[in-house]
Amino acid sequence: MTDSAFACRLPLSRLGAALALLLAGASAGAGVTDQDIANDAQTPGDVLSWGMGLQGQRYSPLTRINADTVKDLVPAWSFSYGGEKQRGQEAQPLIYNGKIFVTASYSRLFAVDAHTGAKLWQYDHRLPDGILPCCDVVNRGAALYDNLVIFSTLDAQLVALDQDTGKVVWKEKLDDYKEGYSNTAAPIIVKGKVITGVSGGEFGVVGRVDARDAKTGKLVWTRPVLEGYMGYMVKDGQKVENGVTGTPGTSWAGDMWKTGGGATWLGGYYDAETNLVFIGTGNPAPWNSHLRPGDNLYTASTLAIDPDTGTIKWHYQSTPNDSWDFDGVNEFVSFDLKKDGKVIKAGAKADRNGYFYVLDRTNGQLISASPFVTKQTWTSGIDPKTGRPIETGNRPGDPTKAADGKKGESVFAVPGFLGAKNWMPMAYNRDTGLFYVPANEWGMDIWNEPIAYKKGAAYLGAGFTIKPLYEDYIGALRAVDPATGKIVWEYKNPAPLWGGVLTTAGNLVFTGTPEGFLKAFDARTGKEVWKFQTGSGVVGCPVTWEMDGEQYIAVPSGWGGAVPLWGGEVAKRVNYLNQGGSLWVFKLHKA
Amino acid sequence: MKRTLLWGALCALAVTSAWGADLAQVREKGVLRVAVYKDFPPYSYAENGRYTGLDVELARALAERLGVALALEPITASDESVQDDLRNGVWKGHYLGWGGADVMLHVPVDPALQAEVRQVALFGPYYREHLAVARRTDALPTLDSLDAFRHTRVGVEFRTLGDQLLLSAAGGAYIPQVVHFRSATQACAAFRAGEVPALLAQRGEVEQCVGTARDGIAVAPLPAAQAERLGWDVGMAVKADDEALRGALAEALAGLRRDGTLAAVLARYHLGAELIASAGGG
Repeated sequence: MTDSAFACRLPLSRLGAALALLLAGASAGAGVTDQDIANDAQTPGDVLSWGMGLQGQRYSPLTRINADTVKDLVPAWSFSYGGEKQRGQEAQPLIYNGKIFVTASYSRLFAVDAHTGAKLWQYDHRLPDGILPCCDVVNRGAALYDNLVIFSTLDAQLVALDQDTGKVVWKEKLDDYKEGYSNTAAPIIVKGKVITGVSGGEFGVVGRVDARDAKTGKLVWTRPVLEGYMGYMVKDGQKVENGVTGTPGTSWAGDMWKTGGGATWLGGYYDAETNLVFIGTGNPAPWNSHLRPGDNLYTASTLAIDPDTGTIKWHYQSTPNDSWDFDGVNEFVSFDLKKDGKVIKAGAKADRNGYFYVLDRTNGQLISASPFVTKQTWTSGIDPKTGRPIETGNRPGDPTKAADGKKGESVFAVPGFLGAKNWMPMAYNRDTGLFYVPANEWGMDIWNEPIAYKKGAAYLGAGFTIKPLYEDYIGALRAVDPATGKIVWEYKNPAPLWGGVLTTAGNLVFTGTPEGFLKAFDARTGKEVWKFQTGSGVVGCPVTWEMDGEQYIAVPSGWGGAVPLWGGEVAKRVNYLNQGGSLWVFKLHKA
Repeated sequence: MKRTLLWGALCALAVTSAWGADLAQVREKGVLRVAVYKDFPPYSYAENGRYTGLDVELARALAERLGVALALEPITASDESVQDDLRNGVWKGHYLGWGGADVMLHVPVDPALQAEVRQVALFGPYYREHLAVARRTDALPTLDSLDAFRHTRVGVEFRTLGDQLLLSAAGGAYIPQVVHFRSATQACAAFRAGEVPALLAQRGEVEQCVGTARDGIAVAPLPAAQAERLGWDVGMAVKADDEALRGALAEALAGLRRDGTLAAVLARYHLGAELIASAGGG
C-alpha cells in the first residue's frame, strides 16, 4: 500500500467515527441492529462482534495510533476483575454506547464505563458442582444484539443480559453439562439469530451448531456436525427433521459416529457476501485413531453453513482420521485474495496441524496450503488436486497393542497436541494484505502405556508430553502472505503465544504475551515498536475503537488457558508466570 | 487424548495445600469423609434419593469400625484418568470447591499407578475386578473366543476397556457388531430389553444387571487372552502423609474381612467371595 492510500484513509475513518458517534447518540436505547453488526468492521466507534466484524479480520481502519505515534501510547485506566477467580482471561471486549462488555474466567461478565473504567455492573454465573471443564475455566467473549449482551457459560448455557442493568433477560440450556457439555466461545449474531457451537471434553460430546432467536433464545435450527445425525428446524414451535448430516456410513465404521466428537468449541464467523457461517470442528473421538477407521467426517474440518436453514453448503477436512489431536476448530477468515490480477472471494485458516490454508470461500476448494511453522512430521504436504494431506506414517501407535504389559515405543510428532496454532485468533490487514498468525513451535512424544485407569477401571491409554522445538522461543507471531504462503516477518517469543491479534490501518499489529506484555509491531516490517507490562500474562484479544476523538486500545490481562495445565519441558518455560484478571485500556498521551 | 495429562501436570507443580484430616482430626470431628464415584452402579449410586452400593456399604462399615459417622462425598469422574480423580477426591479437592475427602474408595491398587501419584497412598484392596460378558444362551450358546462378536451384536459402555478391546481386536472386524452406550446402565437396559444379545462390562456391573433373573442367561469372564491379566484390585486412597488414618482403615478392613462383613456386602451384589481381593496389596 502507498502513502496516498494511507493518507486518504484518514478522513474516511474520521467520517466513520463521526457517523458512528452520531448513530450511537441517535440510537441510545434503540439497541444494536443487524445493520450495525453488518457494518461493524467499518464503524470504528464501536466493537459489536467477535472478530471486530463478522468476517473476523480483526482489522480497524483507525490511524491515530500508528507506527509513529504508538510510542506515546499510555494506560488510560485499568479495571480489576477482583475476587479469587483469576485464571485465564481469553476474552475479546465489546464496545457500545460508552460501555465495555468483557467476559472473564468462571463465566463472569463485566460492564465497564468506557470513559472512566468504573464498573457499571457484574454478572457472576452460578456454576453447578460437578462441571469438569477440560481446559481451564475461560470465556472468550460475548455478542451484542438489541439491548442484550449474550454469552455462553461453562455449564453449557446461553445467557442474555440487559446491557444497562446486567439482569437476565433470557437463559437457554445449550446442552447437559452432566454429559460433559460446556461452552466457552463467543457467540455471533447473524440476521437476528445467535449462532453457537458446543465444547466439552472427549467424553461423548457431539459437535453441533445451533441458531436461536437472539431476542428470545428460542431455537431456530440445530445442525450436528457428525455424519449420520439428523438436523432439525423449528417450525410453528415443532422440531421438524431438516436432513441428515453428510452421507451416513461412508466415513465411520459401525456406530462410532454416534460418539465421534467434533466439538465446535471455538464458534464461528460469518460472511455476508456468500451468506455462509464458517465454523470449525474438533478432533474425532476416541482419540486413538486405530479404533475408528475412516475419514471421520465432519471432524477436524471447516464447515460452511447456511445461517437461514442450517444446511451444510461445503466442507473442507484438514486432518482426515486425525491421530494427533489436530482439532479443525480454527477460525476461517474471509478476505479478498488478489492473485494473478484477479480478486478471489477467499478465506484463510491457520490450522492446528501446521498448515495455512487458503480456500475459495464460495465452494471450499483448496487454493493453497503452506506450512506456517518450521517443522511438521505428519505429512509431506497437501495434495493440491485432492486437498488431502500426504501422510508420512508418523502416527502414534495403537495403545491396545501394548496389552503385553510393556511400555510401547515413543513416537515424536510435530506439531504437538496444543497445535501449531491454538484458539487464539489471527488478524488480516487489508492494507498490507498480510495475515498475522500467532503460532507455536512444539512437538510431542507419545507412547503406549501398559495400563492406565479411568473411573476406577483399567484402560489402555497413551502417555504423552509436549516439548518445545527450540531453546530460545516457543511462540512466533508470523506475517503470512496469503498469495504466496511465504512468511514475510516473524517475532519470536520465549513463552508460547496464546492471545488474539489486532491489526490497524495505522500499520500496526498488536498481540499479548504470557510474560505480561501487550506489544505492538510495525505491520510491514515486524519491528517491535511498543510494549507495556500489564502485570499478568496477556492471552486475551485486543480491540481498538474511537471515542470523543481519541483512539483507544483495550485488552484483558490474566495468565491461564490450557498451557499452564501441562507439565514437561513447556512447564519450565511458563511456571513462573502469575495469574491475574483485569482489563487494560490505553490511549495516546497528550503532551 | 489431550487431557490425559491435563491437570495432572498442574498437580505435579502444586504443593499439597491442606495437610488434611489425619486420624486424630477424624476422631475429633467424629466424621469420616469418604469420596465415592457418582452414578457408578453397583458400587456407588443414588437410589430413591439415597446413596447406596458396594462401596457405600463398605464406607459405612469402615466408619462404624472407626467409631465415627460417615459423610459421603460423591465425586464426578474425570473423563481422562484416575489421577485427576485422586487429586479432586483426596489430595487437593476440585477448584470449584468439592472433593478433598479423608479417603477415596474404588481406587485401583497398582504399584505402577502408585509410582505416578505420590501425593496419595493406595492401599486396602477389597475387590478383584475383571471384565465379564452376559449373554442370552439362545443367541449365543457358547462363548469360547471373542470371535463370536464377528456376527453377534454386543452392547458396551463407550470409552471403557471392554470397548477398546472389542474395537481393536481382529483388525477391527468386530466394530460393526459393537453397539455403544453412554453408560453401563444403558447398555444393561438394552440387554435386558433384548436389543443386544450380549453385554460386556465390569463383572460387578454385569452381575447387577443380571441380578437374580438368570434363566437363559450366562455370565462368564471375557474370553480374551489378555482379559485375565487385565483384572485389577480395587482399594482405597488417603493422602500420602495420613499414615495413622491409613493404618486405622487397613485395620478396620481386616476386621471386616475376618468377621465376614466384606463377603456379605459383595454377596448382596451377586459377587462371590472369590472376588475379594487378596490382602497385602498396597
